[in-house]
Parts: sequence; C-alpha cells; structure tokens
Amino acid sequence: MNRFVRHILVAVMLGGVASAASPGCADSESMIFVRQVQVASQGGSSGGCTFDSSPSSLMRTGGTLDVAFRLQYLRLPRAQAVLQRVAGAAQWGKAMPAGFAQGVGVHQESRSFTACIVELDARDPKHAKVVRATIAIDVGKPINPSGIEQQCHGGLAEAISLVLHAGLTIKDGLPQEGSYSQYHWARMIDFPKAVEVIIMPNVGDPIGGMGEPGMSAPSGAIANAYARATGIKPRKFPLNAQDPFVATPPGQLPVPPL
Amino acid sequence: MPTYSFKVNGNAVRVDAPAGMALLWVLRDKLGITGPKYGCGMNVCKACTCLVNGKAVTTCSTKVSAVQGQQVTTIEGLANGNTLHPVQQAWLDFDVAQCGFCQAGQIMAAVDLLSRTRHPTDADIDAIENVCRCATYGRIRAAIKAAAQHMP
Repeated sequence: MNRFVRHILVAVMLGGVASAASPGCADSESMIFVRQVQVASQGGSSGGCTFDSSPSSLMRTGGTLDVAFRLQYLRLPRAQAVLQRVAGAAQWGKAMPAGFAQGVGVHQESRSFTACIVELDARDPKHAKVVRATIAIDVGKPINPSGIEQQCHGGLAEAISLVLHAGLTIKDGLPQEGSYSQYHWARMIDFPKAVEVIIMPNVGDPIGGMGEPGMSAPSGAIANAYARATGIKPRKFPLNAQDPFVATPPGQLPVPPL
Repeated sequence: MPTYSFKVNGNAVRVDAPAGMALLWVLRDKLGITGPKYGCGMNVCKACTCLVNGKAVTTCSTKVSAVQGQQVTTIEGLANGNTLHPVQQAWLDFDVAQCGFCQAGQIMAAVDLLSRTRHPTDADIDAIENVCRCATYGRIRAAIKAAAQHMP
C-alpha cells in the first residue's frame, strides 16, 4: 500500500469513523467504559486512540484526578510506571491559565508502554494548539535512544494532526482532499517547541516495539486536554474547525514567484 | 524543442526541454540530479525546494523557461569539497533525518532562511512550511539554531 493511501486510511479511520466503543486497548483494564477508536497502522497492527476524556467526565470530577484514577485501575506495573514518571516530569495538576489545560493518555502496544501529558492552548477551541508535551516510553531494552526519541516526536505530530486538524471529506466513498494544501498535516508551526521524551531504563524486559506505539498516548492526551480545557467532550475528529472542502478549479496552478 | 542555458551548482548546463517542463524534472530526469524530491507537484509540500539565485523555490512548480540564465543550487551543490555546509553538518550533529525523503528540501529551506537572517527567531523557523511526515520538526528547529552559529 503506498504511503499516501495509507495515511488517508489512517485519517479516515480516525477522522471519519469516530467513536466506535470497543475494548481492546491495553491502556486499560479500566477501558471497558473508555471510548476508543481503532486506528489502522503500518504493518497491519492496530493501535487504540483512547478518548481519555471519558473517565473524568464519567466521574464528573473535571479536576486533576485523571492520573490518580488511571493509577488505581491500571494493573500492569510498567503501565503505572510510565504514567507516574510522566506525571512527575510534567508536573501534573499544576495551575494552568484560563483556556489552557493538561491532558493525559496511557497506552500499551507491541510489548511497549507509553504515557503522555500535553498542555493544550484551547483559548480558541476552533484553533487549539499543543504547546508542550512530555512523553515517557518503556520499550523494554532501548537500542537506539535517538531513534526512540524521534519516533516519539513522530507519534506526537501524528496525534496533533489527526486529532486536531487533519480531516478528510468523504464523498461517494472517496476522500476529496487531494494534497497537503487541503489535508492539514502538522507543519513546523504546529509542533510544540517544548517536547520531552523520557526513555525508561531497561530492567530486564524483552525488546518491545517502537514507531506506532508512540502515537496513541498523545492522541488520548490531546483529546483529554481538549475536554478539560473547553468542557466539550470530543466525539468527532478533527477537533479544530475544518475548512469546508472547495475543489481546485481545472487549469494551471499558480506559479511561485522566482 | 527550445534549448535553455543556466547554471546548476556552478556548472553551466544546456538542456533541450519543452518550455513548460518543471525545473524539477529537468534536474532529475535530464540532468540526473536527484537530490530534489517530488512530493505533491503543486507547491504545497516543498520537498523539491532548491535555490534559484540563492532564494528557495519549489522546482516542481517552476518552469525551466523561468531559470534561463539563472543560478540553480541543489542539495548536491551545498558542500565545499569534503567540507559540509554548516546546515548539513548541523543536520548530522542533531541526527535530524528519519526516512529522509523531505530532508533535502528542508535543508535548502533552512539555507535560504539563514542567508536572510543570521539570528532566526522561532517565528522565522515556524514560517518554513516544508512538510515532514516523520515530524523531524523539533530537531530541524534545533539544527537551524545551531547552524546559525556557524554560517560563513
């Protein structure tokens, strides 16, 4: 499958077919009541984007209990460990300005565990922006730390793109957007300037996967932060306003000035 | 078929090409210079970015007729012999590339930026619109700031 088609599929799965409740993401044993979307990913594996806004809305706390709640219900020590690590590093629960919020996500995939806390600027809910991200990743035995950090950056950008602003318009079964002018993949300006990736030390666990596992925790964290910042429960993606699709008229495209 | 004469990486070239042919295809298919990559073909992903007279241009959307007599620089022309351009060196130092497909364009965009300002702000760097599907943006930002210290 070529790269572009695969990306469209990912976007369709996340943006177009949101919120099929299904168990299966290992975030959770507590996940039975957490909304979830299965995201097709490279190599035929699947990851779960957990809409982590749900536990807090379920509990109607709206406060800072999201981490404590997860810690109470996560059974696997490695999942607890990445969550605790990231909560400390990101100062979970710290005071945030009006319109800003932290959000948290936890994920397990391919024998790797990861947790993410983002800070979202949602003063304008139609143009929410991730301004800081802290990610802890446990891949068992790290082989290439630089590569692990890069893959986590990639997962974060994928999460920012698909959760916030990379949507597709489906007509007669086909996506109408033809290129990056209409499909708003994250660019430099969308990527937070403060990103910390914490690689958990090897304590004897086998080598886990890296790549796709980096995407789901930030996705959940962004949706969680959006819910906490705006009070709007994410039910449809992308969350930011998507421009209505306008077809490019036939003819010559504008030529960039020399 | 018209003939066009211009310079690529300091070397004079003459090519026979239709006037409407994109500079990208002249570089890649007629001259065998494959650093510039084809991404979108419509000036939005910027993977094909090269310099024309020192200024970043998307070669997929620039006709060969527009560069008659001009100076074109591709990623292949950045290094001075065995000495890498400061931006290339910073890219290595920060281990920026992942899949690498967009990186030649990213580097050329960074060279263009640093030729305009020796002290790029975050806002200057944010203005670079080159798409990177692997999201090397964080390290690109760091590498540009580091390279700025070593520009000639």
